[in-house]
Amino acid sequence: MMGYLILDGITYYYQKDVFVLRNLNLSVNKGEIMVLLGESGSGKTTLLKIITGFLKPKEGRIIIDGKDVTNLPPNKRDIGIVFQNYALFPHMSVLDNIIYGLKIRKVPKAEAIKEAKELIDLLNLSGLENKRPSQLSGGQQQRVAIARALIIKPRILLMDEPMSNIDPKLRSKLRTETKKILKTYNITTIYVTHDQDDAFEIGDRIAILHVGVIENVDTPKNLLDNPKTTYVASFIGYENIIPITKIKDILSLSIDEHTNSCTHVGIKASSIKLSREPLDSNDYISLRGHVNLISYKKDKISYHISTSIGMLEAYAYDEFLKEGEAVYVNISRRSLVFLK
Amino acid sequence: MPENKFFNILISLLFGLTISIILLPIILPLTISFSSSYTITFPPRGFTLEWFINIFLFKSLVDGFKFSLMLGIFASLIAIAMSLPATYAFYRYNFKLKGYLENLLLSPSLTPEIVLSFMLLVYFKALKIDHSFWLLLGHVLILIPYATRYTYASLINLDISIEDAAVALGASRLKAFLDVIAPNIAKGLVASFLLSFIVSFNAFSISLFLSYGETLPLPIAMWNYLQVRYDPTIAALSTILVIFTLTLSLIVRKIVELRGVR
Amino acid sequence: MERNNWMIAIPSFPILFFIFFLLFGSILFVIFSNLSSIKDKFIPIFSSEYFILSYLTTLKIGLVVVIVSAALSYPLAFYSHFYNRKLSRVMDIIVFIPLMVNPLIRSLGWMIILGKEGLINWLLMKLGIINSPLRILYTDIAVEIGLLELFFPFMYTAIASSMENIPYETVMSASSLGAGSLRVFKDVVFPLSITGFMTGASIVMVGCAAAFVTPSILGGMKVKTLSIILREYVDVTLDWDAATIIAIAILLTAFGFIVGISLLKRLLLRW
Repeated sequence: MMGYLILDGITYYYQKDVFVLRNLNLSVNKGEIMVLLGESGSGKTTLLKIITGFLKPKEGRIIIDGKDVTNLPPNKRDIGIVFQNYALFPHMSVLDNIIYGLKIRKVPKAEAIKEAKELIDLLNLSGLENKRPSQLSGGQQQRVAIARALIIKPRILLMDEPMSNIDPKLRSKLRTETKKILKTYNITTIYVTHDQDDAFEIGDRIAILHVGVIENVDTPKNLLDNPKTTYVASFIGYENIIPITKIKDILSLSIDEHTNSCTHVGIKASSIKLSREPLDSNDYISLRGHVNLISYKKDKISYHISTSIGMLEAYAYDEFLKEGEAVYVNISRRSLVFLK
Repeated sequence: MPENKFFNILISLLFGLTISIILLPIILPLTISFSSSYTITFPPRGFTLEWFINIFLFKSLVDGFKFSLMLGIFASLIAIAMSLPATYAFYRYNFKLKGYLENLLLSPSLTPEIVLSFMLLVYFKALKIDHSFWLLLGHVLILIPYATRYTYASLINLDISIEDAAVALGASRLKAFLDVIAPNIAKGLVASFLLSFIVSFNAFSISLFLSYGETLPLPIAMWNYLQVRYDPTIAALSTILVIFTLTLSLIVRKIVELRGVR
Repeated sequence: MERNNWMIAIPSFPILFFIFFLLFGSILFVIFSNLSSIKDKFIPIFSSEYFILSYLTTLKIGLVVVIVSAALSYPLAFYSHFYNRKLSRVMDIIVFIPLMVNPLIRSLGWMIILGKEGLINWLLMKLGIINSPLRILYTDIAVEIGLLELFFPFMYTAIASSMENIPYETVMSASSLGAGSLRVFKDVVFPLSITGFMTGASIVMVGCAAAFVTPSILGGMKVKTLSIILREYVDVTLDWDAATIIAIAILLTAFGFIVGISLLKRLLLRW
């Protein structure tokens, strides 16, 4: 297996049947920012504790840079952690917080301070060296936490929901800055979050974690265009997920191995064109339906149309239909994705 | 969090040491109470129940037990009766001096008991208060912090609006209190009572200075006994008392757990 | 319900009056009514060898108990809070038990353990480590051990609760940066739980100064703490003026400790 960080068959349970993580496999490349995207209850906290060494997996191995670290205690793994609440040492100054890791590694104080100053400048923390964490804003605390983790030049950086305590308006800016820093140092990063915006802006690749299993690992673009499972598709925002049985005949598709094992078809609302007459084109499947519900979103109108394959949601930008009206739903063939 | 072996061993040793320190002094008298030797030696030799019977030959010990029992019950009842209106007022209403008054209720426990006992002795004598009240007054005073503790805790967990709801449905203030508040704090009251009783039963310094006359509370009687004799009788009595107070405290714990009251 | 109307406080008046009348009343009365007669006795008593010796003994015993109880409590609290939650619950129960048992009985137990014919001497002689019994009972050490047992629960509770205020992530951060358990304790846990230790220390010191039963039984006639002297003046020599002065000394010491430690705590918080 290639990959700088490899999770091989990680399994964790509390009792025999209560699985939190089930045979989880993941391979992260060097210098890559891998996002672990999952809702609460998906097992991401447990996975985090296992990667960092605070919990031992019941089965499976963790391999970093070729070495099996599964049995190494957390203080020997060289993994930098940035926590959701930053976990800065409240009784130490910003500078002391940052150089802590170097102090443990017995780096001479002068040298440690020099390295700290570099990071402090880079992260816009100049002037705050002697302040206590309680005197800093959330954003500043986060940067101190990042500096503290980066200064030891960890093999892996783990960030746990770093944006959740940040004002939503500032998040986008902070994400860009964080990504810039991570790429400057080319640090292999695992970024754990439940926020999709976070994931799609920051991640080189995204791993979607659902009920203890990774359902999909791919680049953001591929995830959007080619989700693999129904959970991923609906998580990402596919408005229409239709059981394949309903749509099979209408599509008159050629059955191949892949589509045979799939159970659903996903259709984005944006791939549906609504019209009063069926579009005469081979690129589209046209279905007749009635407008069931109209709801108004910020910049568009959402129409729920009942058709022979079920309720479909489509968008329009002006209001040209009324409830109960007959309409044709034109689904772009190319946009169909097959899901498990 | 995984840890190393050395740490584990150290902790186990410390834990063992702590348990010994805490439990040995309680267990040892239990073992000696059955010994057949005439003085207290370790290890106990032989087996006999005569020391338990011997207790009853000492009037001071038997009377002491009865006296402490009565004193404990009365003092606890009075302490609870007096503190209940206060804790209820604190719970229900927010008023300016509330913080200070709450601390005031705890103040008897902040004063060193022996100092307090002496001060009361001088005071009562000067005020010419009847001797028979001295002990009772002193015990009630030191019991107040304990009487309030569990009652207050169980009140705090109660939503004040349930009383208002009852009133809105037509009940008078008093009826609302009896029907709605009282049943919910009953468990807290019982726990407070038992706790106060245990404290009163075990109290020493206050009883030492404020006792008067023939009847002495049990701890003082036992102390006097130890000044002249050192035989397993006292160990046997200790066994009985340990069982007695531990049972009571287990009941308290059970009540507290059941209620979810801290 | 917010009511700034003082009339609401009326139900609490009986009990407050009771406390005022007895607690504060007695202290004020004793001090001020005898002021003339005791005024002159302060200096002779405070400078007497008897008093100074017992004061130092009391302080020394208190200090020893504080240090040993903290030394025991810290590792156990650290371990049970951060490593092994089950131990926490066990410790809670263990710590609660002695408070319910009469100090007289516990002192008796220590007599049985520490006496010439007690457990320890028997064990040491059986193992051949010593030939004739050691004298442990009726020494400072016996009193310290007895008081340690008495006050360990308070110190442990104080330290353990301050540890609960330390978020687990803070410890995890230190650990991930390379700190082993010992370092985590020294750099993170200890500094952040110092206020707990100080609370415990003040409870223990004041308690040791005021304790009577344990020092009197385990110290016999040999170890004299302030409270033992107080009682002597009251029951034996019947010198109540002297007793008053000793009582004042104990009160001032206790007060000094409590105030001193809360000042220290406030200083630490600012820093």
